[in-house]
Amino acid sequence: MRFLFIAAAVAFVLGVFWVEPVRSQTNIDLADISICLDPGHGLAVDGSFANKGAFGFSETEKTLSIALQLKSLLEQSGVDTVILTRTSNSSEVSLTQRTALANNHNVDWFHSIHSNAVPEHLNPARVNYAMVLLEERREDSDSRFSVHSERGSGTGSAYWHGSSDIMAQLMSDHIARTYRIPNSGARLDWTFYGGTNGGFTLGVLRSSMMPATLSEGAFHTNPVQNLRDMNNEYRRAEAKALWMSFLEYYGVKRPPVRTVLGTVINRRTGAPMNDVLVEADGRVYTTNSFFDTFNSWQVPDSASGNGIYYFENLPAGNIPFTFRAEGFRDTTLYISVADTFFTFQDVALKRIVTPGILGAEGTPLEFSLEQNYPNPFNPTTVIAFTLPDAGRVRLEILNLLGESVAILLDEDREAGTYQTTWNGTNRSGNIVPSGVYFYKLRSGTATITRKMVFVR
Amino acid sequence: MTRTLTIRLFTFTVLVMCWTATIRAQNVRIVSPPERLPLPFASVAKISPTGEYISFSGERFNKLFISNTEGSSYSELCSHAAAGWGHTWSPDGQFIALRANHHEEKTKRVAVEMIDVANKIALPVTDWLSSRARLSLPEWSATNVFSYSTSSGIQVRRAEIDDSTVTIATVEPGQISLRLWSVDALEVRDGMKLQAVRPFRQSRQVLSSAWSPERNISAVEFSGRPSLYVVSEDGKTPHLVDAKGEYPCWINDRYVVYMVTEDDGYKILSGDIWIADKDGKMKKKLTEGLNEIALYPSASKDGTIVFTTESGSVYKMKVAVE
Repeated sequence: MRFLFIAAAVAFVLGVFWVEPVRSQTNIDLADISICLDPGHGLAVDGSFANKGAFGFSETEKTLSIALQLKSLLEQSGVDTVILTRTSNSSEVSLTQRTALANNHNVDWFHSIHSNAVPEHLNPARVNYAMVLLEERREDSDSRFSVHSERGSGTGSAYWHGSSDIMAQLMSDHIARTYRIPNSGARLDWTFYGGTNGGFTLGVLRSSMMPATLSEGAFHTNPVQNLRDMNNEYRRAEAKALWMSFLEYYGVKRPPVRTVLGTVINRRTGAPMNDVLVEADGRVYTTNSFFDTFNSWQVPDSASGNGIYYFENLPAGNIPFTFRAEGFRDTTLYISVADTFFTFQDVALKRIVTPGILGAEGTPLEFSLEQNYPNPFNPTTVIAFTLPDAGRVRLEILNLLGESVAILLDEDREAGTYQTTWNGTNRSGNIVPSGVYFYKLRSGTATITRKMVFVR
Repeated sequence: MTRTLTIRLFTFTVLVMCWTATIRAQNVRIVSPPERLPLPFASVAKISPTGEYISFSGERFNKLFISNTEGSSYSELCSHAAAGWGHTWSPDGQFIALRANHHEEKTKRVAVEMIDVANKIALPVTDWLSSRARLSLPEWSATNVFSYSTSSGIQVRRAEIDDSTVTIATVEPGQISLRLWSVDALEVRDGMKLQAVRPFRQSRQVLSSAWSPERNISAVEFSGRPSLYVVSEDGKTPHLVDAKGEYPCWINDRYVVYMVTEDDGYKILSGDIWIADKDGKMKKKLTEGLNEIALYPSASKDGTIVFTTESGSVYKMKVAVE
């Protein structure tokens, strides 16, 4: 009995010490948090929107749209106050005014939203990555004073160590995953802008009296990115990436993401497709059209669109998505909707060829397995196949030794055209080594096998 | 013939305008140019209205110090974070009201304090409140009366001196008339009557404001450009002083001192201190030739102007105005 009592007492004490740190990390009440969002830039000297992208969609327009959507998401999550340094694209707000607003309101976090750029001679079409800047602590070069001077060189550590460095990494990771672009990570501003030989501290970070970050979401000088930036829901995805970062930083459990987005392309040309109707969960999303969207900026008639589709607040589970475009086969995909992050699914639509070959429009005549694309690939590749009849279908990944690596599908399907994605993981969820793999489709007694290359 | 006459008339008009501008500019004379004071890094510095002291805060507006006007000796008044941002001298120079932060893990507590300058004593005005209390910066409205707002409304306090002991008394809203710039409007409180006046049809955020010594006009900086206006006592007639003016203060009832910055969206490229008459017709740059980014000016009645630079130096200069 005495032993039990002692054991219970020890368990209680251990429990207290074990539970307490966890509670301290997760017990931030967002009603005690206020945030200032700073949509970067505004009007240029000539009165136009500043920092035009490859096709004219500007950083000014992009950052305000993201900030407004992020404000709404944060408020819905219970953040006490969210203020914006500008609420229209026609205002010109100085850097000192932006931080003055944050300091006056005494907010807990200042975040400046930007989009990156490279000059023409650095080949903008090849440059696109995510990065978040934070203030670097500088050396105290004047030892006469007990007050830290912030006058010297960079020290290689964050000014707001333990807060802005953590937040910057979260934001950069989430933006890179959302836009599916490389991640340059969290960068200290003084070193990034030239280091000891002439770096500088970003104006909005230097004068703010609270932890602060500045995200460079992606490159508006990249033509593909700039076309995607024109899609409001694509910008919303960045807002959501930042929103997730805030919730994670403050240790607040976020609701299931359950958002599916991707790009619809023409299978033959690889070009993103305009005016595609995407149906899921009883809703319809239409990809941007030239006259509704791209015509508003400097997108030439011949340029392709962005092909972006986006569904949020989806139910859990495997949801059928149907893609329809004039002159293309209807394509239905079953997409497993993830709770923890965005679910990405790119889709390639196949043109309807001569009825004499196919028979009834859109109905495949033969059992087929297409070459995966892209190939070689990293991190994901799309595998498309057609079924002439309903039945059991199994799609399996094999290594060079013929050993089964992963099973992508093993279920009953109706006749039709399908696509599925392999993300280079095996049955245990681990990334497989680089190399040649086979994918084998079996339906009834028919089997087709093709080869692909995974590059890590 | 008519054309020649028109040209002559036009030339004459231009000459008269130039001459008038020159005469107006001559009304402001730099008595002593900017001189760097031997003070530590300061993010903001303010000269007391009477010109006796300089208050300044360290990096990131943390702490608050007081120095003589030569900068040769200084001492700490307040050790709290963010105490320097928006700290404000009472019109008689006896007190400083400020809002300070106490950081906790990912959150903070906020409080208003008042400092008895002569005795260098900080007196608590509020408890340490959570952010949701929405504690505003304090503002002096009469010699010994200051106010601040919380989520539950405006609070008014009076600093009282009795046998060299300073106390802070609560003033009921009905006992005093107040004119306070809130987020985007002038709140006029006359006893229990409250009226909010927006100078512009559309809402514009007020970033900083300063009442003239006689308190009959106010210099107000609105977010975005054009930014700096002089607004009448009733808040209804804004008059543009400088489209790029920020952070105003008054030397007397006619001249307003402020800063103008230029940036490229990433870093501040230039910053200068300017003086203008209340009509905005005469403007003069006071930091011409100073090879630093000058920020956050303050002025005393005798024409002394104190400002900081982006690199943390404190400068003092003096102007004479007619």
